[in-house]
Amino acid sequence: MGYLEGVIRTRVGYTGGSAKNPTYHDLGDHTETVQLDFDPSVVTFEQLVEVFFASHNAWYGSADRQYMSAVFFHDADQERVARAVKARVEQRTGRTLKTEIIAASTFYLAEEYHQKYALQGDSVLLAEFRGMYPDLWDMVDSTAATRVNAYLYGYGSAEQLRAELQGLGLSAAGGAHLLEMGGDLISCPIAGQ
Amino acid sequence: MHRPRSERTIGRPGLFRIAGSVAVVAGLALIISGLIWGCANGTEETSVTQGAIGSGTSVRPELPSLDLAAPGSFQTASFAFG
Repeated sequence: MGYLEGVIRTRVGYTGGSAKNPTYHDLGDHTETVQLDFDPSVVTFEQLVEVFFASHNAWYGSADRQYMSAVFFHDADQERVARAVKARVEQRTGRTLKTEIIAASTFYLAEEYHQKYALQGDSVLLAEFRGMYPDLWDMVDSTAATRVNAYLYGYGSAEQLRAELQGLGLSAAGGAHLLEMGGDLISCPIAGQ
Repeated sequence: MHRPRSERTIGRPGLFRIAGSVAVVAGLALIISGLIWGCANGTEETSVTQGAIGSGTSVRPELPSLDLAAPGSFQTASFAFG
């Protein structure tokens, strides 16, 4: 979701369970989760939930809690919207979604190597971002890094990438590299984003 | 053979002693003035754009304008994609 206009930053982690301080290899009863900060004046929570349902297969579910489909709501409004969108998608498709809608609880950040995974795997762009953000957690919180990570995964539109390129803080060579790497971007599921 | 300290001094010991004292005082004055000047200007952060060379100051790359423009007010959402 990092490619969406209005999404400020993303991070991955573990939540929903009771185990203290989970890790990737000792997850306990937690679920792998993406948490994001967004500007509601640019993108609404309802739009995010629409993108969420459009971005994965929530009909089959997972027996493993680590990989279940879920919306962790942070307030009553989010709960209401999540349930409404889920019901709408079910009505539209005629199928029951396995997605659970659960109150958000303690969110444990995943290990460093899980954060901005695609960006960390691109040595050219990673070097540029680490030059700007020597502390990796500052890079994780960067909107520009969030965008670049999404583009490297192939999300977003080429038009959006070109429009945002100047604001990403990259050198000319870094920008050219990103344009080359993000050549086959996937169109955004929601209009206008 | 051990000789008294006064015998090991070359030339005019009084003149050297005075010159040394003046040098020490001048050096201290320079250090103190440097410290005062540095503190007076310490609130100004030196920012050098990426690629600046030989300025003698620490290089701090410019942050992305997208990050500088990020709003301080936001909401949080959490999703598990299965």
